[in-house]
Amino acid sequence: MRDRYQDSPGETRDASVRRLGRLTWRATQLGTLAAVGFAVVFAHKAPAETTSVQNSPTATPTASATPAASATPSQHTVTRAHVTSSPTRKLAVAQPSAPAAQQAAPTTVATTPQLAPPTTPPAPAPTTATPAPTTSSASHGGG
Amino acid sequence: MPATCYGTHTSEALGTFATLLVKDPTALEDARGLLDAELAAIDAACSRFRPESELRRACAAGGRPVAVSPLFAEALSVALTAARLTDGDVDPTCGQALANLGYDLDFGSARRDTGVLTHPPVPGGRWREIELDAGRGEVTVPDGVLVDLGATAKALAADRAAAKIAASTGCGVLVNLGGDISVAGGPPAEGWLVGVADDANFDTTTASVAAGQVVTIRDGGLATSSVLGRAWQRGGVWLHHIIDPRTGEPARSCWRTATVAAATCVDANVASTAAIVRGEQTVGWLRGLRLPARLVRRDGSVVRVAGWPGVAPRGSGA
Repeated sequence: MRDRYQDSPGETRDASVRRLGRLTWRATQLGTLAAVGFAVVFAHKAPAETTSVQNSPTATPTASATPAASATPSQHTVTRAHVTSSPTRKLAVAQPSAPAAQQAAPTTVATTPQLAPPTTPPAPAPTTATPAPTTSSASHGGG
Repeated sequence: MPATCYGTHTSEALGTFATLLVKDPTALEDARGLLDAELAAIDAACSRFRPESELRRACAAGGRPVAVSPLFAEALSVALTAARLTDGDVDPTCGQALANLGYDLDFGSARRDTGVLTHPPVPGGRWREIELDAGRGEVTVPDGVLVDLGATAKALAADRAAAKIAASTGCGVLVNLGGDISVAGGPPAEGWLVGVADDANFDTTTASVAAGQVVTIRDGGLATSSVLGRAWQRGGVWLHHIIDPRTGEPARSCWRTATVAAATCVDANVASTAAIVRGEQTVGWLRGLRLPARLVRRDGSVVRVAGWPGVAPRGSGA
């Protein structure tokens, strides 16, 4: 009995080359099919996702810190432990009674709100001044 | 600076004093009327001690929405913003904590009762559960939560009153509500002269206050928070009104007094209150925010932050 590996080296090489060729062709076919499939899926998905972004609460013209709030169709700003003032606001100018649309500040959504310093910091009083007419101090009462 | 050129008036309001300075003395009468109206409105909306106030109605609704005025909505909005900006250190849901500590009536009544406390501390932190629908003018306070706007409503009243008076009279004005100061309109040429004190032994008019320092301010607000002013004794223990929301007990702070200058009186009040609660971290926090502050330690030593001025040397002129 002759061992198959004892065929001529030329026949063996040719058979191997043919098998390799078939495998390469099938791999190419599969790759093409996969690429076409991805393209089809992407073509269908991409517009839907774009629409979703456009409808997302953060794209609406409100300055609410609560995304769900600005998604309310009635323009009312329902906040849950959040306020509707612009994030760059000064606390004292918060206007919760103003319509949400009036508080629109799209460019400030990502800004971290802060307590703001005075325009002019306190200065030492001249020693020649008369006694201060009023004082900031701990107070009794209130609440 | 000739103080006599101001129009000045001091009265009692919101359980404390209200001092009004106007640059033009002839505007004083109109300014008083505007201030009185603002204080009455804030009191009716935000008082924790008035059963008929909007605050009490909202807290007694059992977690149901309650219609509120734009003023109350604004005051609550400011308080919730304060909580958010301080990570809950200035918490409007500490009302029950204060009540359980004996501050359940006005301060005079709280100070008279020295008996042992019978209720446990109540931590805050439920401000996140409050719902404010500004458009509908509705507020929903969770059942069992007692809101206290004391930390911010007084400062808001000062800001609102000063702005209204300046707009109406056209002259510079300073409003001081129990140490929470707001200025608006054009200041005097030298600025507004203001004493800063952490003296606990004074009456409600500040006439007898020994100022630790005198500064001038030209805009915005200035506020002082202290563990000394509103302090009372229960069961042999001294308590004060600045609550650490995490424990529901008076804040154990390294500072006894914090004075902060800011763009508004509300901002200054929020920062000074949080400064007491935050303790040592306060210095870095205020510096990061560029808020000028004067902090007084328990031993009386003073720390100045973010450009708060030192005491002027003797003999220096304007």
